[in-house]
Amino acid sequence: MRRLSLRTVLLLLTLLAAAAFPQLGVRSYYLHIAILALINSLLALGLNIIAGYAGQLSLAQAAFFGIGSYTAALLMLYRNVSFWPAMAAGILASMLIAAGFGFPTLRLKGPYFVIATLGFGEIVRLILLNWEKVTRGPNGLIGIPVPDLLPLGPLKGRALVDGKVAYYYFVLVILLLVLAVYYNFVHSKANRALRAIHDDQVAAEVMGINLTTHKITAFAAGAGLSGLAGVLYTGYIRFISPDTFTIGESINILIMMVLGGMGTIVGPIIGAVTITYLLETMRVFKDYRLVIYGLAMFFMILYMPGGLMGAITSGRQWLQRRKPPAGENA
Amino acid sequence: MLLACAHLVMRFGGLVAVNDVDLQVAKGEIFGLIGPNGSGKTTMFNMITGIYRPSAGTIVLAGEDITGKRPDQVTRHGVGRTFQNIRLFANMTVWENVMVGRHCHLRESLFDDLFNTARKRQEEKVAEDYIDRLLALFKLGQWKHERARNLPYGLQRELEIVRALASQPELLLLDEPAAGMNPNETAELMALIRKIRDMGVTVLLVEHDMKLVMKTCDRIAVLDYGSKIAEGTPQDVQSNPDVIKAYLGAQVN
Amino acid sequence: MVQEIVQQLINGLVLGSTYALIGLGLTVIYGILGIVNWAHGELYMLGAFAGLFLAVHLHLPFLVALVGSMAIMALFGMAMERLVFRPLRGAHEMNMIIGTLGISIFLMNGAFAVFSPNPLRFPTRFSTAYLNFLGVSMTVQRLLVFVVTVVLVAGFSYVIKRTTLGKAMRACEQNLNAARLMGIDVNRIFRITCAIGAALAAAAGTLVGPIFLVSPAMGLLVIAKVFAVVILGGMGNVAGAIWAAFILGLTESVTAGFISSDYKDAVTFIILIAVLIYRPEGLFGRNPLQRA
Repeated sequence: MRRLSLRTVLLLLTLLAAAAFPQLGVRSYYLHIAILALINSLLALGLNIIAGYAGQLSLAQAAFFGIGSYTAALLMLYRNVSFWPAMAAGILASMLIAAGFGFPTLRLKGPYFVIATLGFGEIVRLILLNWEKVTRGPNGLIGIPVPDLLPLGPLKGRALVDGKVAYYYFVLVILLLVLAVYYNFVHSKANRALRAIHDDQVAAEVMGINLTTHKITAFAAGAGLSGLAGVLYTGYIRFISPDTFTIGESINILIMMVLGGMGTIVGPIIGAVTITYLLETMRVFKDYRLVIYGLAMFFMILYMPGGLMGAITSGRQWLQRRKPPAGENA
Repeated sequence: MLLACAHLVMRFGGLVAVNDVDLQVAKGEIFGLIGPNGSGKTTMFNMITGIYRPSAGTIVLAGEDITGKRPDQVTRHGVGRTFQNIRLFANMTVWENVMVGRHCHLRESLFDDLFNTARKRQEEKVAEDYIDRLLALFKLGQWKHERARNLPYGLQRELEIVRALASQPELLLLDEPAAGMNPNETAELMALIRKIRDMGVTVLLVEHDMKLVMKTCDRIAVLDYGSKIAEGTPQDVQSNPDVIKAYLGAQVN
Repeated sequence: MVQEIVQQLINGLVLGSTYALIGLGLTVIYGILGIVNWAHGELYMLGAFAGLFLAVHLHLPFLVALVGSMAIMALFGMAMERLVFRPLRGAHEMNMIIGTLGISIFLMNGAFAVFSPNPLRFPTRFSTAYLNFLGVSMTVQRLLVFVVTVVLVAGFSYVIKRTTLGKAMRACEQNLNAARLMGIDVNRIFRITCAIGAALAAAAGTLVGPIFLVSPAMGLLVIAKVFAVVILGGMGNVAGAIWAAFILGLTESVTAGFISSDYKDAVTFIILIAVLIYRPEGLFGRNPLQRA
């Protein structure tokens, strides 16, 4: 009988908890927060690819969130497209636009690229706000149909994701599928290449890594995850408006990633869950929350750049050094 | 000739850093490039490895024109290099650093990576075996999982060389590998360079340590203010009056 | 029609002056300290609040309040150098951005919490006095913005080109280690640079507060465009920043007036992205302070 490592046990317990969560009789409100937390996890994981691994900060995540969201919404609302194709379109739109934007801009130096993404985010938001003919401007899009997950045969057109519980499981399954691929990505040559670019771009290029290809792919992948999050958001809230997709939202995602721990898989998720919970429940203290997050981000980046996850990992390593190895491996 | 540089010129605005330099390195040689500071040696390296695009001239490697190609393309043609100021991937482990060096030889696609296909696992396994043998050969095996930034200086320099060798280059460019080393370490380095040549790799070396250069190199070229002022065997170069004048006080054995 | 053009010209000059004062500090902090200060907009915002406090609550004459707010924020700038920039020195580029971004969030939301969630009015005797220029009526405050900006920029130029301090600053910008070896107290130069940068931003805040409203978000609203200005001018390039500030300010107001008010910001960013694609060093490139 193979001995399971502590880490595997914790993972399984978390999975169990996540699966059991809706059955525990929690109030609908907390289920709502949980769904948002899962969606934000995707956003944070997306940013993590380009910022956490490749070391290139982007403030455009909210823009791709919006592009995915609006693309799916418009297709479902005005073209009667069913959910899965709309999802594919939303993700594709985000990735293509990201690749197009990234191609000329990713060769810019760090801070310049950040400003370019800021500008891009503002342009997208302004289009969503002012192109009233298509997006209905500040009124947003309402009455988006409930996602139909099986548009075939006798079930055609029938809404199958009804109610929060079902949607929670739906998003959870999607997140888990994404994580499976994400995990493979992190343990691969592609990831090493990004981390090499992060540490020393010039040396990375000399080792045979094509900077442009890798950066654009990373940026587009992050945008794709954000687009996916947008589609899931559209399917859940079924009413979207431009003021969800602001620079402030991009900054929230950044905070989630940094505090949770960038450059890890679990970090962004922890950050997303924690910050989403705090953001939603402590609305009363809204202004004080951000005061704390801002300061926390500053101190974290100086003294705990690995975020919460980094602190946990360092703690474990420190413990392992103090005890002789007991044959337990992560 | 493995490497043939003809009439290379590098201009930065009004400054001519390299002025009509020819350089030819034969396969299996250890070739030394020396000269006072600022004579254009690192600029030559940067042109050969694609970091700078030459203002004029050509660079031909094993019969193929690589002038002006990007660094990652040049590496794929079979060139490896180390840097004057160590440029390791500080936050990555020794093993990861060398694996990045092996990047060109890992043939899996992004799809393979994302879905952990049999091909990816096979490529990684083969690479891992190769890296383990390489690390063992250079006695870095015990540091395999140590972060590069935690290594002592001497080991960092050695790691940089091993990382460059991981791509199995035909030509290895070493930029001042002995910088900051004491005589013992330098002697070990000399043995290391010969070992590398015995592995079949041609070495082009920029160095200030004259003892190392004279004892290790088969041929030497001397640059001064961007122009080549002498070329030949160590004996030829040592007794060349122009070289002595350029250095004015350099050690002569 | 002429009136329309004059109106937009005036608006453009006001905007340009604002961007110039804030951008000057930002570009000089980058040139000398090597830090991209994402919290610079908050220095502008805090300067506006300081000016508001001095002029409206303490009933000091406006010009005194202006100098006062600059002095207060100069001290604040020095504190920032010590507490924020010094620890960040040498960090990875992305971490510098995240760190100062965190401080920006901290300051902006702190202001929300401490001062006021709602925008405040900042009436001065200049903002209620009108004058007529080529048929267009404008408040004296707008003229004051431009005039004070010219004075401050000229003063800054003088300091950079003619004083020992300026020479020391230029030396630090060129080569930090060489400056140290020449006996220049580099930390002191850093402090002074931050003090100057903050003071200039504060001046912008106090001057412009009476025209628009004073609110904790005013820094955020303006910082992206100031970055666009600084990048277009070439980061670290003082003259470039000033030129770019007025070019962008005028472009913005002309777009707002004649093309579309909704998309005026988009135009600025499209220009920025387009320029960066073709000239990554900015319109004027990276020039040493000497050319200021």
